[in-house]
Amino acid sequence: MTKPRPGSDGEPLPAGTLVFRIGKRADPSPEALKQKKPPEILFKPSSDDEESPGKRLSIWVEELTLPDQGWAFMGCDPAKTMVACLNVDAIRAIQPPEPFDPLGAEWEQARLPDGSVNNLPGAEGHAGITGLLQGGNRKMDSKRRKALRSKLADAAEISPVPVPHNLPEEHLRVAAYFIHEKGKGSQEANWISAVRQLRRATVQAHKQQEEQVGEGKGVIAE
Amino acid sequence: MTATATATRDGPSSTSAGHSTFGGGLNLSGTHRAPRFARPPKGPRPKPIPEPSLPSAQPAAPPGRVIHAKIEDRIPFKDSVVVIKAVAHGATYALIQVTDSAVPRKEPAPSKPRTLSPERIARKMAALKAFTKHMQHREYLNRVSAGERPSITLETAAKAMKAWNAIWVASGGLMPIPAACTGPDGEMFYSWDRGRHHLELEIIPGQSAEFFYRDRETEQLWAEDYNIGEPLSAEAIQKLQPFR
Repeated sequence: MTKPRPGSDGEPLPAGTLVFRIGKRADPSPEALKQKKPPEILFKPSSDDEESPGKRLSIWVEELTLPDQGWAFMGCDPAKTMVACLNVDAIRAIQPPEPFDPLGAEWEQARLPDGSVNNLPGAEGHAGITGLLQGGNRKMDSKRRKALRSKLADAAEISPVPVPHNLPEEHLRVAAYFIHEKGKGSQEANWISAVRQLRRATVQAHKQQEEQVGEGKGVIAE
Repeated sequence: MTATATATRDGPSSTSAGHSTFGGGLNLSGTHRAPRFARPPKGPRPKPIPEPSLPSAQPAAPPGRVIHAKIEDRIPFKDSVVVIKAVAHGATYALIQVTDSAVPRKEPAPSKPRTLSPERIARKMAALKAFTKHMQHREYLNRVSAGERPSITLETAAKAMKAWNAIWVASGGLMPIPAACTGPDGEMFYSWDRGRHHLELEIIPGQSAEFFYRDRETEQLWAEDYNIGEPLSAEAIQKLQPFR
């Protein structure tokens, strides 16, 4: 996948972009982890999101920001461990309940808690989902907003790697060494690339494992 | 005179016949004999008198009261069959049955090995799986409501468990365990998904809980407040149906 070029605030994200959201104090049960589906509350805009100029739900572009970097920008809260991944195409494909508008995904300037612009490495991947704060205070509108969040949860998947990552340090060292051998980037950049590669490899391994289990179940069912 | 046998460490000795093997004292002839340690008697050693066996030496038991026999034995007694069993460790037995006829007691038919049908095995396995998941859910609630910074309060955990029990009972024990997750403000979210059907229960501290249902095909939405502890409404019970 080609690395997307960070856009200006409010510009739509390129099609097919993979994004993730870091959950706030979301502690899933074993059953929820098995289903890999995040709760809809994960997509409820926070008070910060509601007060922001774009009124967007904060997300990060996977190619530009590591979940661990996003977690650090959010204050390294140990209670925020859940990472939900989804595709921008799936967000835009969500059918809104009448008379709501469809959801959107746009670039958003990352800011530090004091309101200043965040120029730290990884901050360029900040973006937001629009359309989650539509409607008024009526019960019906609340139900419609909840339906939108529920559809987002359907489109998302909990990452098997939480934040902060639980990847073995030895594996990261080896991966970073090979990236260094290719002769590109600083030591820090190589380390970030190593974390990204191992995160992706872990997700792939989980998917393959699930497919094998699924095939096994199919044999039993037959 | 009946001989009474006693056993000693030195060997058998008869006390009633009036003559001892090695002991001193008066014999029947009244002559005094030397003590045994002075000099052993000359001549061939006398044969020891065989001692009667212990059972025969004991007084006979009154008929019909105590009978010595093997465990689970059956013996003819007059015109009856006596069935006996051991009641305590040792040589004590008790009479448990006396039948009037000489016909031996019928043996109970040997019990058949229990075989379960595949359907019953499947039901048992499903029940076991459901119970295991139920226990896992309890452990999860305990975990998220404990520690230094619990995600939910003990009260919310108790309410969640109460609500789950009410839902499970209302579904006739067929509702699967919910996928649960805590919220940022101490909420507990339960959700069930089956095909097109999605059901949620949001347990919010200090407020009534809220059911939310969404049909993915028809886009039908339904929401209802629920006071935990009260019975579920007819509509809520109806919404449980697709998940059973």
